[in-house]
Amino acid sequence: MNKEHHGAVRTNRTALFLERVMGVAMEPETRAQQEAGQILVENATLPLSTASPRILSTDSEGKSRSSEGESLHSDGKSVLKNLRETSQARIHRSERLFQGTLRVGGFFVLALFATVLGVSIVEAWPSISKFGWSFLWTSTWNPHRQIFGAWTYIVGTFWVTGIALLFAIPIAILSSLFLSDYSPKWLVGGVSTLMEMLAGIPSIVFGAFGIIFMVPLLRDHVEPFLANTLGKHWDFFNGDSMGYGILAAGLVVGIMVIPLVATVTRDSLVMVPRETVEASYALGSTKAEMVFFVKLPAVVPGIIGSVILGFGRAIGETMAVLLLIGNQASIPTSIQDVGYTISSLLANTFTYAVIDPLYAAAEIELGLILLVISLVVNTLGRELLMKLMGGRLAGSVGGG
Amino acid sequence: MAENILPEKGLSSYRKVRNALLGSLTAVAFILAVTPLLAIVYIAYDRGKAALSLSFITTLPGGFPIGIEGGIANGIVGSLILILLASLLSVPVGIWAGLYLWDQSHTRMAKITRLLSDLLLGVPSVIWGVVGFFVFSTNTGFGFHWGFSGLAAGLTLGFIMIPIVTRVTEQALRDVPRSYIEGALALGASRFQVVRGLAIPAAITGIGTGILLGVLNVLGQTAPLIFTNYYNTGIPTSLVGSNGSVGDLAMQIFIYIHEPSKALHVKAMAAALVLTVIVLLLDMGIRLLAWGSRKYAQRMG
Repeated sequence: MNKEHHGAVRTNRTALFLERVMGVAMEPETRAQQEAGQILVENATLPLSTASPRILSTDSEGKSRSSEGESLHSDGKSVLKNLRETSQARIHRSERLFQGTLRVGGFFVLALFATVLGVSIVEAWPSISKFGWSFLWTSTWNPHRQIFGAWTYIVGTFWVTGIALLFAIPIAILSSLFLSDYSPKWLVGGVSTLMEMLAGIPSIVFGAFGIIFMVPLLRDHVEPFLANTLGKHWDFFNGDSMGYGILAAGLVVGIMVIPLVATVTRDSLVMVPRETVEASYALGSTKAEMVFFVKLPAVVPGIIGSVILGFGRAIGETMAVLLLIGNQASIPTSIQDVGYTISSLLANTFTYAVIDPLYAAAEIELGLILLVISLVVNTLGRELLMKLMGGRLAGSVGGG
Repeated sequence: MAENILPEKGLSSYRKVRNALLGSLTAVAFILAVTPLLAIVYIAYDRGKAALSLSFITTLPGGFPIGIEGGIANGIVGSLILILLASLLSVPVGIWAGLYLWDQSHTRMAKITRLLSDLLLGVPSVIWGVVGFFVFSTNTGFGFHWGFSGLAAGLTLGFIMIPIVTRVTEQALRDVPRSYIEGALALGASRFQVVRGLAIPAAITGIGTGILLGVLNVLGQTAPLIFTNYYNTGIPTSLVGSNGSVGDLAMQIFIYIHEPSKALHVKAMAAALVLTVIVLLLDMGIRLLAWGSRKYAQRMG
C-alpha cells in the first residue's frame, strides 16, 4: 500500500515535470489516469480543505469534467492547476475567509523567522561588509583598534562541543544498549522517564552545579592527576589545574547532552526487527555479540542523527559554559586551558559592546555564525531521524 | 564419528569473557549516565539546605552584598510575570499557527511554514536574546524602545515558546480522528464550527501539554534575560522603561553564583533546588496529563 502510494505520486510528479520542463506532451488518456490515480491515492490523507461539502456544488461532477476537458486542449496549463483553480472557486466565501484568517497564524511564524534572520544580518552588516570572509579566520579581537576576528571563539566553541560529545556519546550509546537489552524490565520505563525529566533541568542549574562541585573536583583531583600521568608525555594534558576551563565546561555540557543522545538512540534501538535479533541468536551468537555486532550496526544511522542533534544542543549552550569556561579570549592548546565560546562571549559582553557599533556588529556576526551552524545541524539531524522514524520527534530547544 | 560433527559444548572462554565484559560495560555506562544527573539534584539540596525555609520563598533579598539576607520572592514573582507574558504572546499565536498547519497541511506554504517553525526550535538562546534586545529593548534604531524590562523579556521568551506551541498543537490536532472531522463536515458544519466545536475541544489536552512544555522550556532560560531584562531585587511597579526590570529565579542563581561569597553560594544552591523542583513538578504534570488523556482516549475507543 505504502509503496504504491509513493510510486503513484512519483510517476505523477515525473509526468508533470516532463510536461512542464521538457515540453513533452502526455497522452490525454495517461494524463487523466494519473490525475485519477493521484486523487484516489491522496484520499487517504486528504487535507481538510478538500473534504468540506461546501467546496463542491451539486453539479460539481459535470463542471469538473468539462473543465478537465477544456484543459486537455489548452497547452499552457496543466490539468492539475486548472482543477485546483476551479475547486478554489467553488469554496464558499465564508470558508475562504476563515482559511485566510488561519493563514495569518502561519504568517506570524514566517515573520518570526524573518525577524530572527533579519535582525542578525542587518545588525551584523557593518562587520560583514568591513571584514568580509577574513572575519572567520582572523584571531585578533581588539575593540580599541577596531579589529575583530572570530577564530578564537570558533575554536573555543568547537573545543567545548568536542569534549562534551567525546564524553557523552560513548556513555549515552552504551547506556541506551543497557536499557534496551540488559536492564531488568521494571527498570526501563522509570529510568527512561527519569532521564528525560532530568534533561529538562535548566542550564543555569547545571552551571551552578559545575561551579560548586565540578570545578573543585577537577582542580584538586582530576587535573593534577592528568598532569602527573599523561601530562608527562604530552603537553596537551598539562596545565595550571585551575578547575575552570574547557574541560569543566565540556564535561558539564556533556552531562546535559547524554539524556538527549541516549533517548534518541534508544528509540531507534527499539525499532530493530525482532527477526534480526532472533536470527543472530539462532546462528549461535552470545548476547553481547548480538547486541554489539548485530543490533548496534543496525542503528548506526539513528546514532548519527542523535549525535547531530546532541551537537546542535551542545554548540548553543550558554549559561553553563559562561560560568565554567573561564572566559579568556585565548585559543586553548591544552585540555586544562581556559577559553571562550561564541555564546558565552555574547552573554558576557554584549551589553557593553552595544555602545560601539562595530564592536556590537562583530559580536552579532559571531552570533550569526552560531545561528547558521545550529540551523544547519538541527535540520540535518531532524531530517535524518524523521526519515528513519517516519514520525514524531520531540523538539530540542537550544540550551538556555 | 558423531562426536566430531557436533560442535564443542559450550562457549570458548574468550567469548564468555567478552560477553560478560561488554555486558558490564553497558551497566557501568548506564551508572555514569544517571549518577551526574541525580548528583545535581542531590548537591543542590545538600549545599542549599542551610538556607531553605518557608521564609526563603516569601521574603525579598536584603543585606550587603544584596541577597545575603532574605529570600527569593522577587525571583519567583518575576518568573511568574515572565511566564505569564510569554504565554500571553505565544499561546494564541502558537495555536493559531498550529491550526493553520493542520488545516492546510498539504499546501506548499504550510510546508515551508512547518519547516521554518521547526528551524526556530533550534535557534540558540543567545540569539533569541540578541533578537529580543533589538526588537524590544534597544533605545536606538527600530524597535519598541522598552529598555531592559519585564515586558521585553516576557515577549522574548514568548518568541521562544511560539514554535513549541505551534508544533505540539498541530500534532494534537492530527491525533483527532479524521472520521470525526469528516463526519461534522458531511453534516454541513462550517470549518469554523468544526474547529471551535470539535477539533479544539478534542485536542485540548494535547494543546495544554504543549503550552506547559513551552513554559518548561522557557522557565530556566537565562541568556535571553541578560539581553532584555537583567535583574531586579524588588517587586517591579511597572513592566516597561528604566525601572521595569523584574526579578527572575534563573538570573538570581546566575548573579549569586558569580559573587565570591560562600553565603550567596548557599542561597544560589537553594534557589537552584527550588527551580529544579518546580521544573520537575511541571514535567511530571505534563506526563500525567499526557498519560491521562491517552487512558481517556483508550476508554473512548
